[in-house]
Amino acid sequence: MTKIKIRFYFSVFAIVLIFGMAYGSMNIQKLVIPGYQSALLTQKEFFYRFATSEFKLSQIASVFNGGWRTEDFEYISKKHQAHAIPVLVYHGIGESVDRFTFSPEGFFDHMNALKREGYSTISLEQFRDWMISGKDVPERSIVVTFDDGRRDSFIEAEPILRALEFRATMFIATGFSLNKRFENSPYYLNTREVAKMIESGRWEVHSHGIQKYGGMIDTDVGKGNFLSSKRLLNDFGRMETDIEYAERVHSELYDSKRDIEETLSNKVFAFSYPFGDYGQQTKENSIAEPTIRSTLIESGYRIAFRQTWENEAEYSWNSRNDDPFLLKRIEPSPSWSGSDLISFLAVGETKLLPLSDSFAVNKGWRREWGNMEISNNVLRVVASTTTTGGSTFLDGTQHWKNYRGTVEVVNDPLGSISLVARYGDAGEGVQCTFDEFGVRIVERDQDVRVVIAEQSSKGTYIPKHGDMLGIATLDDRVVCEVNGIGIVGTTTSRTVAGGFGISVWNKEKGVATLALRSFSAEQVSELAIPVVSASEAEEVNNDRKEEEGKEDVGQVSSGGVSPEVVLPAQPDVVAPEEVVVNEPLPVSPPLSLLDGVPHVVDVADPLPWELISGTISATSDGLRFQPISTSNAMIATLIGSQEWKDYEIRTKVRLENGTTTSVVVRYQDKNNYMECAFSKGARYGSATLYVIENGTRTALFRSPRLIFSGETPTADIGVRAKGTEVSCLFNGYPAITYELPRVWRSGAVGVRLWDSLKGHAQTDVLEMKVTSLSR
Amino acid sequence: MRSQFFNKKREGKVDSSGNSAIYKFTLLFLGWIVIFLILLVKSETASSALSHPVLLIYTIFVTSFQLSRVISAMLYRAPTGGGTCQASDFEPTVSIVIPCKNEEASIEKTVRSSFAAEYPSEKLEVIVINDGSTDRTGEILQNLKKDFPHLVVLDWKVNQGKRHGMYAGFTVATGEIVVQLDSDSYFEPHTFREIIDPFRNPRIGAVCAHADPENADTNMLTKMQAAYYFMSFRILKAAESTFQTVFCCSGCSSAYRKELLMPILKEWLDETFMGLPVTWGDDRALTNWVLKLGYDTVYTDKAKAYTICPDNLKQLLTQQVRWKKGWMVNSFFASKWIMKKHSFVALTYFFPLILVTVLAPFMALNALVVGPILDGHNPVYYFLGVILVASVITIFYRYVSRENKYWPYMFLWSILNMFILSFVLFYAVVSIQNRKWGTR
Repeated sequence: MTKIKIRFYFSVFAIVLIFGMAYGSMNIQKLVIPGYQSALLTQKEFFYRFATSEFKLSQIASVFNGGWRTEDFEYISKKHQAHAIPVLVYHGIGESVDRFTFSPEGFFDHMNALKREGYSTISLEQFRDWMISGKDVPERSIVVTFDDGRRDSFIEAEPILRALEFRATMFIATGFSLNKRFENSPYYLNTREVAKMIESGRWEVHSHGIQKYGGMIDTDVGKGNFLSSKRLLNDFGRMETDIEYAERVHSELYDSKRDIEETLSNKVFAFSYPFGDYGQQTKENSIAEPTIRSTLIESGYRIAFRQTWENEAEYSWNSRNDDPFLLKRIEPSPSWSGSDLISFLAVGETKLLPLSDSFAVNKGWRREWGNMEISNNVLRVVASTTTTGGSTFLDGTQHWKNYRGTVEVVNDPLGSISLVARYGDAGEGVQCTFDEFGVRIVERDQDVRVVIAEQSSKGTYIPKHGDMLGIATLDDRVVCEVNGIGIVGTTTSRTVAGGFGISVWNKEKGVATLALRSFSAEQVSELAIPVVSASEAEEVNNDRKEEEGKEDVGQVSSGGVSPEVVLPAQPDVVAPEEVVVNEPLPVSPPLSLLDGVPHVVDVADPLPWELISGTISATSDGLRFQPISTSNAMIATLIGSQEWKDYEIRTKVRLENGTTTSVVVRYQDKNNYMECAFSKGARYGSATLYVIENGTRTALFRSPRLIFSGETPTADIGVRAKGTEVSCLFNGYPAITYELPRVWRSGAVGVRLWDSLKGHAQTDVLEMKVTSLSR
Repeated sequence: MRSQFFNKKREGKVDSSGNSAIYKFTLLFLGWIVIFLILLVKSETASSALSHPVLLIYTIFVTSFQLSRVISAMLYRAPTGGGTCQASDFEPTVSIVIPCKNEEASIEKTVRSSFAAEYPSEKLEVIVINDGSTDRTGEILQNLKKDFPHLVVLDWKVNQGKRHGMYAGFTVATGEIVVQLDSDSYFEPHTFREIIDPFRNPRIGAVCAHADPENADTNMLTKMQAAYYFMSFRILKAAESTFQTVFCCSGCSSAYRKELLMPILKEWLDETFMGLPVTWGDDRALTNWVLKLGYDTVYTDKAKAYTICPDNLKQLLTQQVRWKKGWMVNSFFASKWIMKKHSFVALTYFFPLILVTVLAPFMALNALVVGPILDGHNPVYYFLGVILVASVITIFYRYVSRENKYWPYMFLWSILNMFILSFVLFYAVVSIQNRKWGTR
């Protein structure tokens, strides 16, 4: 060979070598994935198994050196069935750690800690069957999920899961992971890899949507989450219509499920809300939440996952009571160590009855509102500087049903104390409220508090240092107890299981304070509703409650209650009424209310009014309603209106600050009627719908803030009563609409005033008009 | 067993050409598997090195460089000088120059085997420079003179150093070709003609014979060196020889065209580096002079010589330090003219080799010590990479010489090299001003 030839051959070989080397080392993993990856996986798995072996050795060693402690293995033996199951959500695992990316070591630390604490992962199928079909799984079961279908999380998690014999669920975006265009994406899993995952039997694959237009889409107000926002159609220069939006949601949910099922022959029943947004985050699109939910159900999903965050007052584990389409997932932070994760899970750990807590450590009490702290064996619930109260609940108690919860008070509380039983995620429950006005049982549903029974003590009882306060529930019965003695009891419609909470409330901000030394809870199998003494029988008629308690309380529909308006039970509006009883009422001749012809009340003449108590006098521009000087309240009805059925009253009134002005409807007698009570502060006010039955006043619903226009104290208020539906009108629009089937279909209309100062209440009625609604 | 084996080999009855097709195919197949495994290991580095692109480029560069040596070696053909090998029409006069000091144990064998060379005795002259020996070397030489009248002995009472010995030998030599032989080395007599034959080609200025350690079976260390010698001659020098630029015609057995050397011999003798005379790397320096003059230097695997290698680690290290120093100094000198005279070799081999040799200890340090401690990297991939490259070399080793039994020690040698010998460079740099000879 000549010199030139040799040089030529050598150069060709060398160039092939260098480029082959470079290309090969970058791409060979892809070319030969099966063998190579499994070899690497096996090797990594070996390392991880080795890393766990120390613990296994210590377990074995502890048997021989007598160091066996039963409590260490209590959970490993799995005596009990799970009452609640935590679900974890991870995103990525890679070398560069960020908010959504764990290091492999960090993830291993988490999984290894779970293993050591006796947790074992269950499949999503088992979880679904537990949740929906009521099949049992052992305690300390946990579900590990991954969002986004990231390649790195599969590659790094796989050997860890193998080594620990754990399993996981991956939620993939089919627009990336089942899309040929992204086959070589280093970020997303591709079809082949997803198929391998399913084949392994260790992974389940479910939907995270298609994400056809990516995770974030253009809207008219900037970027929005793709599933819950309407899309800005740039070509048309307009937003999607409701129908177009619904179709897109259908495609995202149904098509992604179908694609996974067809491509991978894997049954899809679970969805993970991208960004944890099931519609609640996107205020601009009010149809998002119902559309997503109904489409999920139509598409055949059985469960759907969102995220919870540490500062949200929710039980951190999922129980069977929970909404299967709003399942909670804990999102561990990459900054948590394995033991951090364990202590976070311990908060939500299922608490079994009986339980006693002397507040040496925090066993799972979580702040809901205001401030809460546990120190020096005292649980302190206080208002923050900006709140009128504080509340806390015990995480892991959501499965409790028939139990007695007792607290020992170690201060003279500043404010009303409430013990909440059957406490649910949205703050619903049934509570016993203890304060200087007595003891009340209140049903709470998010922001609404309805008094269902009370024992008025009028200052004779004030919760004080050393008192043992309790609430006991058995099926539909609720009893409030002070120092072990039942004070008031009734039946409640809230019969589902729910945990225990405590709250304290005061009118003044930053004042409410409650300190507790101990809490104990025990199973209740017998519970008698206390008999109320004869003098109080008038106010609380237990027999009636027994009969009617099981009836449907009715449906609430409100024009959207803004979450910042927190309305704890307010004793001031439920003040006892002092009534000046006149001679027996004469039966007035009926006044006809014709269709289409409004009945206009003459505001210059007090004569058409029948005074139950108080006075009415004519002024220059209307009628002035006032109580007598020794009374807080007055009430008057329109003579002849007692047969009226379906009507709308609108009245223009001049309101005084502090006076509650009510428009009364369905008036039967002074112990049975309904009213819309409007009260006004400096700028804001509210409307509350009450029903008074046999003298017991119950708040059915309270409106969100109403804005009363500045200087002029006049307001346009009213009531629309039609059949069983009653609306409180403000400026002609319903602020509250409530359906209460058990009340009267007809009754007189009237006006009632109340003020906390005797003889102080005063309202001028400037206009009043009643229109028939019957047709 | 061993002597039988050696005898057989010396008789030249076992030849690589006797390898069966199945044997070759198996090696080829193994070679592909190893290349594939190298790619896998590199891809592991690549996946973790995406954040360290320099490391990735380095690792690809080094591996390619090492494999390019194998490619060059594959292209190697033994130099024939253009004529038929066995022809006896080319018989220039030859002088064998043997500088020695205190070699009473081996000098007789060296001299006797030199005279036993299959070459017309009237054209063969042996010159021994007794460089101030204090033992019986002088006496042995005087006795030998009785047997071999053509033996010329330069008896120096005061030691002057190997380079001076060589200088004197070259000066008094009368042959057209001067064969330089270390005092503990000897030729296989029947292969002697092979080292002369390439000089038919007038462009060839120096020829390097193949050398193996004679004391290979002494211990593990000598066995490893046996593998190393075979690799460095039959693969590395052969690879250099493919481009007619062998940078070091080994001191133990090389031949030079005398007329080329005479004008530069004085200059070679007086070479200094950083103000001090260069006492080691004289063979490398002489070869570089030939290259600098524009002549070719080649290696022939057909001429076979034997030498003694160090049998303990201390001596080995001293020798390695000396060789590294020689390499550094001569590479420094050569870097000034190599581009002008041999630009292709300079770009594909000379400068890359310098880069690799300088970087390797740092990279080894990083992969074996710094990375695992600071970043928790797994050093196993580096280790695997080294072993796999050694495997490629070993497979080629087996291909060119099925009968050389020391090939398993190639792996041990690369481990020794990775952990110890590559770091010798540091010591060599630090002690560059120590011009002592060191061993033996």
